[in-house]
Parts: sequence; structure tokens; C-alpha cells
Amino acid sequence: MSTILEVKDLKKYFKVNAGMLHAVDGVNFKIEEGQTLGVVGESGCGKSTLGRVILHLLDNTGGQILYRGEDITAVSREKLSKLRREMQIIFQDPFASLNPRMTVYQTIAEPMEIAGGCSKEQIQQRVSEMMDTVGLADRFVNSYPHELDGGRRQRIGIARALVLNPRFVVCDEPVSALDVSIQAQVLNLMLDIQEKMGLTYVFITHDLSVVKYISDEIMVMYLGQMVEKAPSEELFRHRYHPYTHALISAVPVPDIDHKRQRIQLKGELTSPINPKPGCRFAARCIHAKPECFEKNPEIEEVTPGHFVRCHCVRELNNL
Amino acid sequence: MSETILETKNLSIAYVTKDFGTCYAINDVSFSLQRGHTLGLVGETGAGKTTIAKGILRLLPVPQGRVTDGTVIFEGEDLYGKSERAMRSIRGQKISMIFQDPMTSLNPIDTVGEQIAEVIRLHSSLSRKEAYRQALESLEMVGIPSERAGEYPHQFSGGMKQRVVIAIALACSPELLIADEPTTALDVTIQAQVLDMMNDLKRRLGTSMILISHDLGVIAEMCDEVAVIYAGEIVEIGSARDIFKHMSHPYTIGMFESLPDLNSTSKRLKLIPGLMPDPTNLPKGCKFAPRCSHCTEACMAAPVPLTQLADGHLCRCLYPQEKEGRV
Repeated sequence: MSTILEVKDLKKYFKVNAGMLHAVDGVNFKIEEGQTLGVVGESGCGKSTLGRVILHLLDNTGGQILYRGEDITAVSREKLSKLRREMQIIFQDPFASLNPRMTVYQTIAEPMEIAGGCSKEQIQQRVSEMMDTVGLADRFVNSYPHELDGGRRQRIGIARALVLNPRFVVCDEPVSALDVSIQAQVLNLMLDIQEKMGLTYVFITHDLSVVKYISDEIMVMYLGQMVEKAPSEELFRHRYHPYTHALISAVPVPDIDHKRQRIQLKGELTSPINPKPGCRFAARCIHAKPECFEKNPEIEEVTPGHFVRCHCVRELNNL
Repeated sequence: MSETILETKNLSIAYVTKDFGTCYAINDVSFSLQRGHTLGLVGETGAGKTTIAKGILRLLPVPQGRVTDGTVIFEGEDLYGKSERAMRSIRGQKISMIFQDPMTSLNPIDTVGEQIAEVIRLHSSLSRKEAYRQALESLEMVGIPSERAGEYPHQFSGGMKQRVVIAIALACSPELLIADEPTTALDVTIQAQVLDMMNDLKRRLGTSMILISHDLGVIAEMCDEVAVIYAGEIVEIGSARDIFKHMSHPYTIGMFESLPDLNSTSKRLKLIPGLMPDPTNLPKGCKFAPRCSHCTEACMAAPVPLTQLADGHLCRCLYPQEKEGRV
């Protein structure tokens, strides 16, 4: 296995009236080819920005993005447009991300036409292959998005992202807008395709049960920073960061006999604009000590492969 | 003790449109709610959950929305026999509704304190000042400091806005609260805060509640009784224990199985093939038959009635599958 993407100290700040909004603030990770990295966090934690920055759809403020060893923030435009064929994105909202004036065929064929080098027949054949792969019946080939339901629309988004045979796909909340029974269909489809095509996914979601199901490794984000990262099974067995604890305990469990030990968080996400020094989570943390408000903790590998950003991680978890 | 506060009898609602024909949104829905209890309505998008809520409050869009059959009894009185004027004094005072999206259900150019006070003044003879003072109390009740009453909705976060919406709904101490996906737009940690708060208020005020949600986790946490809605019909109804531990309808079972489980280790989800039927062209027999693995010719031939499996546990299926709930 080889590393397909490595992100080093990635930063993305937005300038807003009130100051600098730290959307992504010093994120590091590596993904091996064929694996799935799940990124979880609440709205406003910077997960979607992260997805866009690693595809270089947004310029980064600092840090490096190494795609197969090459820093894509430094390559030429031509080189980047070649690389983009291998790096695709599936968007959250299948109701807003498709052009309402383009048919299913046009939508799926467009990336190939832009990439060039294919005859009409080749494109036609490839489109029908892709529709088959994502489970869209041939009869929809000339339909417009408004004629289709959410599940089918999301399948178009997936077909379009995969038509150029990418190796690396960022999935930004691809099933959040779908009902549970349709969500299950689309998730299974994404796993099937990953197996078949050997894809690498970065899977961004706020839904912890979905992320557990699809990911090899999970990264928890809070206010632009990674607070915990571990292999999927490990994270659900041992969670060390107080925020991860609270996040997992807040998920309502569909079982009436479930004894909930919910860790209530105080307040809401604090502002990412000009963040104060100290741990970003301290203001909501029940374990916060004076030092948490002074110095932002460093990421620390507490057990092999399990990274946590917390001053108190060892005493809280008896490590 | 167990007094029925609300009952729907064979409620059927259709939307009549020129372009798409008649859409049979709700068909023959009957349930009753005991005072102080919470009934959950679960189902997917387009199943008709919200239409049921609007039907109860007589808030259906005119002229498309039509109640074709049945009626709603609230505290022993037929709501459909009432004048529009009488309905207005019931809405907001006796029955309140929380709408799904807190971002769009508040007035952006009015302070939150004024918005709560407005509801109170509409339903009482209190003076402006008195009403505002009560509004401040309502805000405190949902955990918002009363100093913020002079702020506008855009100055609040999503969770706070939803609290304001809840404060408005509870301002007149309604007997019945209808909450339509009250936490769907919120993050899980905020959802947890809001759900805890609603449970707490319900206990303190003794409010009865109808909770509409597609999230079985939320339903499990909040409800005493549950009705599963599919294509405008109740396919299964019973106590929360009946539904979560002895689920019997193939759709209910399928819905539970298709949830990704935090505790499971399997690599593929079970799924229900296909899609919900088109409500303008419903199957003649069982609405779920085309997606059901137990389907026979008898299922397709004629409508399937709700049959009683146990006391209070009804299921609309010829071949109920009693299945133990997941652990």
C-alpha cells in the first residue's frame, strides 16, 4: 500500500469583517490508497472547507497537500487540470448540485467532454456503463434532475464524479439529504464501487453511525482542528477526547431500553473568528483546567495509531 | 388518569392538482393520544407525516388540500365542526405546533421577546407590558437569558432559534404540542440539549405531544406510543415497546435493518429495494407490496386492513413477521 494523499499543517483562513476566520487550522493526515478516511464534526467545524482545500478548489493559506508525493498547491495549471481527473468530489445536496437544465446524459458526459480525447461513441458507451454501475436505469438517460428523486439524483452525482476513473474522491455529506432506506442503498453502492475501482475516499459527514460504517480511519474535527484520529473500530472502543465522548454519547440510539449516559456539553460552538489562545474546546469542556485556557494542546499519539489533542488525556483516561 | 386528548378517525387527505392529478396523501389514519403522553409519527420523506399534523390543525393549503373523509376530535370536540374563528383561538393556545426549520419560522424583523409576547397577547387579555414580562419568563424556561429578549433572530444560533420557537409554542401552556422534526436541522450535541429540555418541560407542564421524526433514535428517546407511516397509511402502531421490541410489519423491520448501527461490525447494510410508490398512483393492495420480500398475490389484490396483534399493537400486513428488536 502506498500513501495517496498527505496533508501537512494545512491552514485555510477566510478574511471576514470581524477578523480572520480560522476554518482549517493546522491539520495533518495521511491516507493510504484504497482506504477511507472519515471526517466528522458539527456544522461550522471546517470539514467541508477541508474537503475543498485538499482538492485545491480553494486556495490554502498555509501548509502542503501532497498528492502521490507531489505538492498540488505548487504545480502548474496544466498539471493541476490533469491531476483533477484523478481527484473528484461528490457534493452534499443532490437537489442543488446538479444543473437543472442538463439531462442525466449531459451531466455525466460533461467531464469527459471537458477532458477531451474521446469520440462520441466512446462517451456514449462510458455513460451507459456508469449509469449501470450506479444503478440508474437506461430509461432515465434523457431525464432532467427535477424528474428524479433524491436517491437517483445522488447517483447521478456519483456517476459524474466517477466517469473519468478517478483514484481519489472527496465525498461531502453524500447521504445526509437522503432517507434512511435510500441512504442504505447509496452507502452500499459507494462501498461496492470502492471495492471494484480501488478508490480512496475522504468521507465528510456529521453522522457518526454512517462514518463508523464506511471508514477505515476516523478524524474528529472541532473548530478547524483535528482533536482525535484513530482507526474506526479503535475510536468506537476507546475514545479519549472529551469532545469525542460528548459527540458519540449525544447520538440518539434507536432502542428504548438503551441507558443513556449523555455528556451534556455546555453552550454551543464558539466562534472560529480570531480564536483565543488555549484549547478550542475548553469553554465547553467539563474537565477544563486553567492551563487549557492558556495553551493549545499539541496532537499526541497516546496509543499506536491513536492521536488526541488534549492536555488532560492521560489523567482522564488513566493512560 | 388515561384520558384521551386527541383522536383522529379515518382521516383521509388528498391534494387535488390540475397538473398531476389527485395525490392521496393520507388514507384512513386513526389514532388516539392519551393526556400527558407522547406519540411519535415515523416515516420517510413524503410519507404524509406533516400532512397529518396540518390536518389536525386545519392548516392545509387551500384549495388543493382536502379532507376527503374522517375527522379529528380534540378534548371531546370535533375540530372539523368548528368555525375558522374558533379554530384560531385553539391554535397556539390549546394546540401549538413547532415547525421543522427554526431558521425560517421566526420573523426576522421583530425581536424574539416581541414575537413571544405577540402570541401571549393574542390569546389573553394581558397588557403589552404584562405579556412582555411573561415572554421573558418563557425565554428563561427554555434556557435563554432574558437579557437577550431584545435581540433579533439572526443574532441567535440554530439551537437557540429552535429554543425560541419552542418558547413561542409553549407560551400559552398548550394542552397539545405538535413538533414537526424539531431537531432535524440541529447538530447532535445541540439536538441532545433541545431533546432533554423538551422532555423536562413536558414533565413539568404535563403537555401531551405528537412528535414527528424520521430519526428512530429520537423517537426511542421521547415517545410512549409510535405510529409508523408509509405512503399515507399507518402500517404499524403500538406502544414504543411494541414497535422497538416486537416490530412486525416488513417495512418497520426493513427500516430498522437499514440503519447503520454504532455497535455493529458488518460491512454492508441491509436495505429495502425500490422506492415509495407515487401518491397519485397508489397500488390497489398493500402499498408496500412492490418492495416487500414476503409479498403474495393476496397482498396485491385488495387493501390490507390493520389487524390487532396484541393489545394496542396493530399492524397492516397479511403476514406479520414478529421480530425481536436489536440489542
